[in-house]
Amino acid sequence: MSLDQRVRDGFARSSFPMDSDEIEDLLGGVLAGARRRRRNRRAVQITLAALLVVVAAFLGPKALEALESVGETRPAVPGEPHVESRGPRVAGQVTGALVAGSRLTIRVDATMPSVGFPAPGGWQAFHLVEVAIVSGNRDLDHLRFDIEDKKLTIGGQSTVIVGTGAVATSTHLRVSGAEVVVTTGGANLSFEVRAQVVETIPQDVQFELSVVDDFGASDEVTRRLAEPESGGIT
Amino acid sequence: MWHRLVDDAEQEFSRFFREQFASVVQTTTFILHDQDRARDITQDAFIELLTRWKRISTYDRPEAWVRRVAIRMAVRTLRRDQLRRRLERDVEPIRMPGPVDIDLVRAVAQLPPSLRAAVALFYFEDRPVVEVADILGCSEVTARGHLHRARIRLATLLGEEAVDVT
Repeated sequence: MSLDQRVRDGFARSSFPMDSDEIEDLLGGVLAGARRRRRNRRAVQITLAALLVVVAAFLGPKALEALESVGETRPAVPGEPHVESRGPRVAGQVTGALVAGSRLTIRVDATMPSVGFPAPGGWQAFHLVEVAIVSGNRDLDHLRFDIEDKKLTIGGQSTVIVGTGAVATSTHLRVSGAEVVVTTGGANLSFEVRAQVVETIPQDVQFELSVVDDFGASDEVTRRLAEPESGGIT
Repeated sequence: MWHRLVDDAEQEFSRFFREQFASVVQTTTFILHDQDRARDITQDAFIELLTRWKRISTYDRPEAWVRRVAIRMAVRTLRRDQLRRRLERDVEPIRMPGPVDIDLVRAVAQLPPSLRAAVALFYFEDRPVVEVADILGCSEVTARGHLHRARIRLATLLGEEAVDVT
């Protein structure tokens, strides 16, 4: 018997049926668990609404405005993350130049607040960092960083392990694993890659920066190439 | 009207649960070697799914999503357990029901968590490599790599010859 056949047979023999009564009991537990979570979320929303009424009555319009902004989603502005009541949040910027031969630095900053049961949150709950390079509604290129495997894949095929000297190349970019920096701590993760542009990228390009957590929740922001800072001696 | 929508969603979810729950528990059991904990983790994963059912139910394969969540929870639990056992010098317990190939079970128990998950999905659930990659959230190349390394390790532990069948 081959190893593969032994493994298949071994798994098959080790498997166990679950009777329908047990499955129904467990389904009941799942439905109850989800309803409890919805009730808790509604209770928080009702409490917040009551608090708003109290604040409006006693503390005036300025404090009311501050409380209303809690839990809302603000439109993204350069350098500022989305604000959402739960789930991952992402910000970032892209600097450098788009011409072949130049350098492009892409930075993604992600925050994973604590979401309680069942996951404690924190940066360990992140799964992927992704960057889509889009021009005229066409995907020009794509970067995907697997946080657990520490692997960066560009163009969907070429992969490097972060921190090594290996090089990955796609249609528009060349990246060395040594030029990827990932910084983590608490609820925060920062991913920065310095890539060499191998084929000129169109000027109308947009960079869609996103993070995905272990539960499939995600956040995304879109950035254009940042204007170079003005400077010099005046 | 709202209650009818919620009831319809719960009924749809319940149908999905009855179809998928047992096999996710089995896969998670092969990773954790503990049916009771596998059942708890799988329930947690399905609670996560139900709270996002409106969105996830529109995906091509919601069964891949819930498996990914359950496997990641199981792998995280396993890593914490392994750290605790290293500190306390415990031996990993095996709580599998029914008649088992004990040598195979012990050999699988020595694989790292990501390789165990790949082996369970490929051999027990009989999924093609592309689906294994999708559920584990990695590339097909990485999934093949996991299976290849798992085969070599199992062959060494079991004194067998490893042949790549992916």
